[in-house]
Amino acid sequence: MTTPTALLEGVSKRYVKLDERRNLATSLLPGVRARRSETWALRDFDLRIEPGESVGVIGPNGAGKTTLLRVMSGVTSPTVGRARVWGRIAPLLAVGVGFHREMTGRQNVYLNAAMLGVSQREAEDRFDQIVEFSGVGYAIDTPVKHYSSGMYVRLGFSVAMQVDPDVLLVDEGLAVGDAAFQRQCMDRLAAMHRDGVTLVVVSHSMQSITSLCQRAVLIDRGRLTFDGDAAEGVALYHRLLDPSPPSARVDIASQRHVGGVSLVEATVESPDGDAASLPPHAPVEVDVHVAFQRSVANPCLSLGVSNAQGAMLAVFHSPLGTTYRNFKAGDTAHVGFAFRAHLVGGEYTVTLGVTSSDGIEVYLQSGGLAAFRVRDSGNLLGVVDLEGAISVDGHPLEHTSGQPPDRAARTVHDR
Amino acid sequence: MTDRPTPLPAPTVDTGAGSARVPSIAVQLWRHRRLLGWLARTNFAMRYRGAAFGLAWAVLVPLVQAGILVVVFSRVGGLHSVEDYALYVIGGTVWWSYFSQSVASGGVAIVAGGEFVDKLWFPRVLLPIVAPLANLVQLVITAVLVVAIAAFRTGLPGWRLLLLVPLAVLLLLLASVIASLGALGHAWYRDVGHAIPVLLTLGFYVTPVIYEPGALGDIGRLLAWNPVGGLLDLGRAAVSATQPIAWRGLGVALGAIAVGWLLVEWAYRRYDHDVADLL
Repeated sequence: MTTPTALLEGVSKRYVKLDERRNLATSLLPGVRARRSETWALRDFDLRIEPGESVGVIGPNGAGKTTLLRVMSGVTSPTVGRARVWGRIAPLLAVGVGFHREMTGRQNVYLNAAMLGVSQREAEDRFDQIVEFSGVGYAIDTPVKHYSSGMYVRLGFSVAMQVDPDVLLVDEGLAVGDAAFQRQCMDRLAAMHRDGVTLVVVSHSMQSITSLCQRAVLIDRGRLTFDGDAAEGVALYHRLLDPSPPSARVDIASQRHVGGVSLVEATVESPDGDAASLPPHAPVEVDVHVAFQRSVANPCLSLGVSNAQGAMLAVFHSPLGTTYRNFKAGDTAHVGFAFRAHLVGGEYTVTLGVTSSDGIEVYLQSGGLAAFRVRDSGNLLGVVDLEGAISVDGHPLEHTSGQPPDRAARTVHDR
Repeated sequence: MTDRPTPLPAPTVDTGAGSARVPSIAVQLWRHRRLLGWLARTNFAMRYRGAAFGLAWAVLVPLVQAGILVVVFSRVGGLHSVEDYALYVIGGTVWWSYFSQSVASGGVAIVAGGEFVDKLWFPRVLLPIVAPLANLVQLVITAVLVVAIAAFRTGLPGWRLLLLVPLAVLLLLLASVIASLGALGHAWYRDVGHAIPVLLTLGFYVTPVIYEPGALGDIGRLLAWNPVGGLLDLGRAAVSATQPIAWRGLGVALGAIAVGWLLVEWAYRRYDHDVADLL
């Protein structure tokens, strides 16, 4: 077996609450005892990271993500278990690795490099690269107390990123600086990863996790609850944050296509006019004629709307597990879907889905089966029309959405 | 990126149950000597930044203090039998100042350096040693002035001047071990931070800085066990041919350093990775 980069064996970390920490009085005086209030930030943590891996650490606030990085960097030791990390470790932290405010950028770069275990020669060799990456070259001989917070962070990052670490520990560090610098950091991290640097990234940005990491570990209340593919970990994390009961939600990941229902015809109509040129917010009615080749009890029916770029904008479906009708092989049915086109101008298509009552078995999934078009109404960007209105000092400006002026009256009338 | 060495078989971080033996503090200091140098340089450069007279203040303070003490106490009888009381006090004050200032700032250095301690690991023992190390600059300059004063008053004491080298080393070691133990204690109990200045004030009076131990009678014999006192006598002997070299005091100082060092070895190897949790 090769040497791993990090090996955590049964690691648990206990913190004793700060305000009840024993003080001199409680240690010396007999009869006075500090009440101990303990928190286990990590519980029975087993983790092995191989050289060159990129691991995203995700989990809710207070789950123990930062403690994990603290243990890995050696700042703190596990209460139980053993933690080992091989190679040069560089932490990349949101607030930078402690600069001395009175010192110039140049001095801080050297001090930081020394703290990261870089030799003087190596630091000198890298100096130009560090400064160039940070983009604060013009102020490198100014004390950092005169730096803006952005400059401060950029310089701190640059040191950690340019000193050739074997392991880079990134704690929520990616959300700093302007968009351009963030982009630059992400690119640099990706390049370092390609060069074999092991990345351990703590982030609440699932986008950076999935783009940087192949592997994700999910921590919940100090315990490792998932360790595997990053996309899967992110999906699990979302479910952890929004724990709807499983029956109320279609679990797309576990769906199986089995067939058995076919589409006969689909039409799109609107009481407001031609489906090829609908006014904004027009009611849309989709009529679908389906034929059953198998018996299906209480199928779940769904309709999706996609834009011209193929992005699925919305899906709505009948409640899972409702009892309404048992279809036998040979039956046909007309399914009516109705919705309002709260959409910006453009071409849209609908997708039909017929699944088993629990949403798992897919009998029919048919995309692009009918199209409609919403007229351009101006003043709108994005994909949905929020029926927005803008006023200044109470005086409404021209309507931003395509809604006609008599909106209020119309809405009442529609009901 | 250049070719990266394959990860070492020895981990960089090894903590918790069954972890490998922590190397001696001396070894750790040697391995991190460059960082220690940078920290000391920073500490020195920052202290007098923006002050027009810079280092002059560092030298001036102990000398002015010594001057005042000489003027005041040379009028108080019974304190001294030495022929050059002024040199005795100056010799005592400047070495004591080094010790006192080093312990005062080194003794709170871990908590003061919390910003670094909380973010990445390096041997924590570096922090309390920074101040004693950086203060050596000021010690050397004051030593030169003391030698000049001695030469002016009684003539140069010849080979004995070489004693200033072991004096500086021993002062550095004594201040370092005491500051190290203080800094760890301070991280544990913040009371220590308040106690250090009190103890140093007390120390000034229970150390023969301005008086000779003999002046206190029986208590004076007790004071002979004060390790700082032994070093002050060594410093005085270095600049004055008439002062005997107090071998016993030197032995006490060496013993204190040895015991202190063992405590530092034990405490820092045991608690090195726990300090950050205390901040």
